[in-house]
Amino acid sequence: MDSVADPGEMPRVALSPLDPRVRTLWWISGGVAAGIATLVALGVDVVFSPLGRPGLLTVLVALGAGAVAAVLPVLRYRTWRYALRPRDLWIQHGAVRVTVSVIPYQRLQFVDTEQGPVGRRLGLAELVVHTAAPGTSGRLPGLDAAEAERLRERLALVQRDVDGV
Amino acid sequence: MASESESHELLRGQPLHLATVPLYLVKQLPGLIPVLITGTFAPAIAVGGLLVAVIASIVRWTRFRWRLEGAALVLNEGLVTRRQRVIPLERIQAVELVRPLAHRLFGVVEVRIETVGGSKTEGRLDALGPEIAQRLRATLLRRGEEIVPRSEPRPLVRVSAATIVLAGLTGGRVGVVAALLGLGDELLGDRFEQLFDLPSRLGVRGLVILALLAGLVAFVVSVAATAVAYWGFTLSAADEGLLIRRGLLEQRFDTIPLRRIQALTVEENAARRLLGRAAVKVVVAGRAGEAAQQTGVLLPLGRRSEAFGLAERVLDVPGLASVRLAPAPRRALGRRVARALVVTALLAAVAVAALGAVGLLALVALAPLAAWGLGAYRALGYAEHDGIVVARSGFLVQRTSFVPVARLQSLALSATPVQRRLRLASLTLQIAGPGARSDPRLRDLDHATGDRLLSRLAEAIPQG
Repeated sequence: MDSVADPGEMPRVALSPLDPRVRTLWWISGGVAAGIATLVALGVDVVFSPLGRPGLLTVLVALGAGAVAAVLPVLRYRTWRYALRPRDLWIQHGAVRVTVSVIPYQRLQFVDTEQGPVGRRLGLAELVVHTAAPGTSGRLPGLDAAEAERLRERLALVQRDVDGV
Repeated sequence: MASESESHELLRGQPLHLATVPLYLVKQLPGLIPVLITGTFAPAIAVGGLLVAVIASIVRWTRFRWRLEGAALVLNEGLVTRRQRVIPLERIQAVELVRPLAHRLFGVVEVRIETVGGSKTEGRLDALGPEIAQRLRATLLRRGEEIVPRSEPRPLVRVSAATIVLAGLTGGRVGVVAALLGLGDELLGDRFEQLFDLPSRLGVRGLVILALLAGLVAFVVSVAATAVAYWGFTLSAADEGLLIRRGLLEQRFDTIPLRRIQALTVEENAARRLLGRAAVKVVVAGRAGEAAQQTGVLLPLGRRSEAFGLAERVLDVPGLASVRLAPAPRRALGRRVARALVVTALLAAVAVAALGAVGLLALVALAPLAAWGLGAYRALGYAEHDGIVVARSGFLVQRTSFVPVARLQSLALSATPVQRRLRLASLTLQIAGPGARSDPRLRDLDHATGDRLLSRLAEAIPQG
């Protein structure tokens, strides 16, 4: 984990972390998932009470899911780094296997931005870029919505090289 | 020369070859069989059915017209519902000339037109005379430029029958064997339980013979399949790209436009390496699936020097065949030896748990595993030569990939925890190929080298 944060390990290009608001987004979605899991556990507890004591399962699930929902966004946040440079997009991702991708704007086929209800409230968008290579992994969650829009406009101006496709 | 009348001929709305009528009839035959069987009782039905089929074939033929209009190929068809399809020449990516068995009887060719982004054939001319088909292909692939007399194709490769058979013998088509085993399972079905009786009835010797027989059949089938697909393989260079001709039962003529080639790979599996033989494949943009892999073969089998020479000529980079590859750092060998040790230890642990002290014999596995690791390490190498990145890896199947920097789509440098500890990283060259798994990789580079390459190659990708 610490090697992810270590700038000496990975390329010289200065990569910045995602917009910190994305943690809030993940906390909210994780919280909702934990809530649902707790409700399911409560239902099971009421009917079977499988752990002997009524309510024990619900408490354990609530604590476990709550802890995961609270901690995971922090860890996830640390596994992402990116840079929008004049000619290309750099994305670093991964906790165990760390991958740095470089995607030149010249090679982009199309750009998607995705925004859920929570993301819209927070002003965040997820950016997905595609090149002609199926192997390109150009996903960037939690980008400032205005920045994502700017990027999309800039990409529309790039003159594409047809034969390179 | 004849270019003016030629272009004129291509511009008019034209019908398909007259042989299309009998060909349509042949295609309808399976559907006609019930009618013909009924005909043995009531001849009128058979005659009527045949008549309808003949008339339908003739009508279909008369209604089909194709022409070149502006920079597009226009196809018109249909009697009641009339369809018109306009295919812009600039979107055409490949034009295949195919001769199934029936077409060969009539001396005609089927033309299949594939476009960028299309997963299936988007335009089809069921039957044309071979000459007009060749000219049409040349025109379509020249992207609407004016028609000039074509220069003669220069032959690059001609593969002898013996070599085709050798290609089949050394091909190692594991997939075919697996398919046959699957078929066996299918056939046995619910009689599966009887299999457990089988050893007692057949005895060990019987079982071994059965297994050997199955293997032999699979092997023969795979050799035959390769021979049929690649019989009479020739590759030549023409103005519009590389022309490939192959096939025993169904003759195929494929064209690969040079500008569509994204990468070229020289493949040597263990058996072929012993014989000093190799195959050459190319990745062509925008094609997916099995057919793509077949049309991508530039040399089913040939001498090693021939294969690398072909790579040099196709990519048109002098000196590419003799370029020296930089080996991976020594530390990369450590990674592979460590892996062999871990796997052996796990095997031994499982064996001891299951069999007791005898299980320690599993430690013998260390020798082949370590040898494999050493072989895999030795295979590693990379180089950069005149705008081409060369990457070599693989022990059982050694692949040397040549990727023009101008064809790179994106790059990814990745490192696992073990690689980070050893200051190693792998660089993936992401190209417009069939999928992420087949992207060429420079495995186990020194991390600093990988960093530099990543930045430099990203800079080198052409910017419009």
